Amino acid sequence: MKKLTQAPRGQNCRIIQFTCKDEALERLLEMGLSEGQIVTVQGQAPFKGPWILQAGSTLLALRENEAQSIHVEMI
Amino acid sequence: MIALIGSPNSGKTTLYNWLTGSKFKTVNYPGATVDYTIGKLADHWKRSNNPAVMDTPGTYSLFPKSEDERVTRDVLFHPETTGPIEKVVVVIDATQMERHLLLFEQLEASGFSVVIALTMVDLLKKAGLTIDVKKLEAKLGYPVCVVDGLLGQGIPELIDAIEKAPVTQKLTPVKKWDLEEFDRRQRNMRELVEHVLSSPGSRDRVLATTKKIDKWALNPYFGLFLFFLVMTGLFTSIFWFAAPFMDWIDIGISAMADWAFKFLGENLFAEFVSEGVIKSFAAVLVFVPQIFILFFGIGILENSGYLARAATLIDRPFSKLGMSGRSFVPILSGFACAVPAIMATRNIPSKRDRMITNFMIPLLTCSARIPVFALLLGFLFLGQPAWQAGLAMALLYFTSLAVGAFAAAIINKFLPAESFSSFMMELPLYRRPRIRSLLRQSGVRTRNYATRAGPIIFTLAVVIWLGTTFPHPELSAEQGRLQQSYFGSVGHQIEPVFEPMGVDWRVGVSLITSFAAREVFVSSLALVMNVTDDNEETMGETLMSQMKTATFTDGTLIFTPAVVIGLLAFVIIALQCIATTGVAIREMGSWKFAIFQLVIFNLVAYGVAVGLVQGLRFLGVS
Repeated sequence: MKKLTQAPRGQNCRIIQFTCKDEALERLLEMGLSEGQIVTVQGQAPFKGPWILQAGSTLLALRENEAQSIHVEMI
Repeated sequence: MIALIGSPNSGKTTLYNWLTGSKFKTVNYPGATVDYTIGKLADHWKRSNNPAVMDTPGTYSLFPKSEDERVTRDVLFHPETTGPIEKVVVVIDATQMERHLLLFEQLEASGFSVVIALTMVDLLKKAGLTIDVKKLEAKLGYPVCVVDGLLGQGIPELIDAIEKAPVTQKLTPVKKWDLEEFDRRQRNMRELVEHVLSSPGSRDRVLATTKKIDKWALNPYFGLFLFFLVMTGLFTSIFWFAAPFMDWIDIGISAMADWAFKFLGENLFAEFVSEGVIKSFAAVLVFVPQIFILFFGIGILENSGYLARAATLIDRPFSKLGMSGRSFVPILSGFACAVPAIMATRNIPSKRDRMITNFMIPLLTCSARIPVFALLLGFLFLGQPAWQAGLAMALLYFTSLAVGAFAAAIINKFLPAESFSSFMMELPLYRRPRIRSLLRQSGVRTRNYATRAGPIIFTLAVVIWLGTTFPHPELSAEQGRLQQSYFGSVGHQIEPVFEPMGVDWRVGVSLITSFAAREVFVSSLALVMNVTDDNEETMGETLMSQMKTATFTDGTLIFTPAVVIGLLAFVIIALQCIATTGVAIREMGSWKFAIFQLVIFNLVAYGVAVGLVQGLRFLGVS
């Protein structure tokens, strides 16, 4: 199990769990993320900015601490 | 009432424009500050009755996390001002179906009579995917209509479906879902989507072009270069495209003012109408072109999908100042006018981010400062090559940005930190912007701005005219009507306050009057300097030559370089804009913030101006 930020770029991984809660978690869920969902890290914005994530046909940008709260396994 | 509900980027507003044609009005939700637009179904759809249709702020769910999402929920469940919501059209992006369908489920669970409008099916088609609408309809149990935002196909069928839909009976606002509930529903939706799509496995093909563009647009080097290019382009076009319109407004207003004199004769009433009313109206109107172009430009960036990338690129630097990428659009707008900029902070979910953003916005060089800068720089660089003044102007822009960043950094230090700093943004597929729909939307927003800020600016401009005219309206300007007016005598009394800035009461009065709108400074100064030239082109020059010879009573010159630099600093920092304070009060829902902002900015502006003038004098620059 890894944090999403440690996942190699362009590789599919599966969300195992979220470590954030309440509104932060709810927001992730509303953006279409969920446990078991397959996601791919696309890259990171300049200056160590937000992470770009693909989940299905959705592209998301999220901050480091949000990306770190997503735990994944490689598949 | 029919409400359109949908996530951001779902094509909701485009659909709204198709449905309502040109009949609409904007409504302000009581208590909150976000607008929603209400229109009637357009006549050309030829229905026996044209029901009211409402566009609402985009929302991901009925569990709101920002001010604009809150409005959408409130308007659904407390429709006191709009009348009951009989039917809801939920707008769903076919490429984002499983996500957007959750919103449908929340609406359904609350008891709304729902019709589903499926948009962006063309994007699926382009990627070689088809969708079985009949099956989707059967699975969901509600009518599903495919609509094309670009061509308007499917709208009549959608209207049929709306007409046939039953009226909402009893509402029970949906309870918040817990993690399991979310999970279960998401799983269901994913299954459902797999059933109705031709080859669900290859669905990310819709992203192919977008991902290719993003390789460049989010690239550390080229991405930043492009960002810089796009923003410069937006800015230049705001000033460039607006210039002729602003000239026309000027010409039109002058003509109207002249006409008022001709029609009413040379009397006090005519002067009131012409100088007081018509010219005050001009103070509101003259910024309309810039505001419109700003909204339109931002609309194009938003619609095309680029804005979300720009916000992502800028998030990290902004986070250092306690803000996020979501503050980007408001700050960008702040360079045109603080009023729409502050209104644009509504979609910032974090209260803290929003407060910091609203705190720094008035420091950015808005377009009302430009005439003041132009006058002062023109004076400072009189007889020098034009590029020097131009360069100085660019420098002022950067200074204001730096001052704004500094203010944000300071308030960021003092506000209690948030436990979880957040920035999450959907990066929508790149699309061709819908120009027609955007033009209309920008028109609505501009009108909103004019009706909101307009009355304040107008009223103040009239008050200033009265204050500078009475109690001796019978005197002419040469006879010193202003000197003996209410404002003039106040100016004399507070002259000691302005003295450390190196200016006399006339400049002081001009600075005070410019609280109506900063650009009023120029016309006030012209008024107090007895410049009676009505021609805009030559007025500036006449004013500058008056400034060159203006002296204190003891014969020393007023407008020395040190004093002009002090004035520039004052105008950069000071919050001389009642409209901004008015909007800040409304948007932040508290007087405290706005009054604090008003007091602190003006005190600091004064302190810096005095410090600069005295410091420069100490160094031998008079």
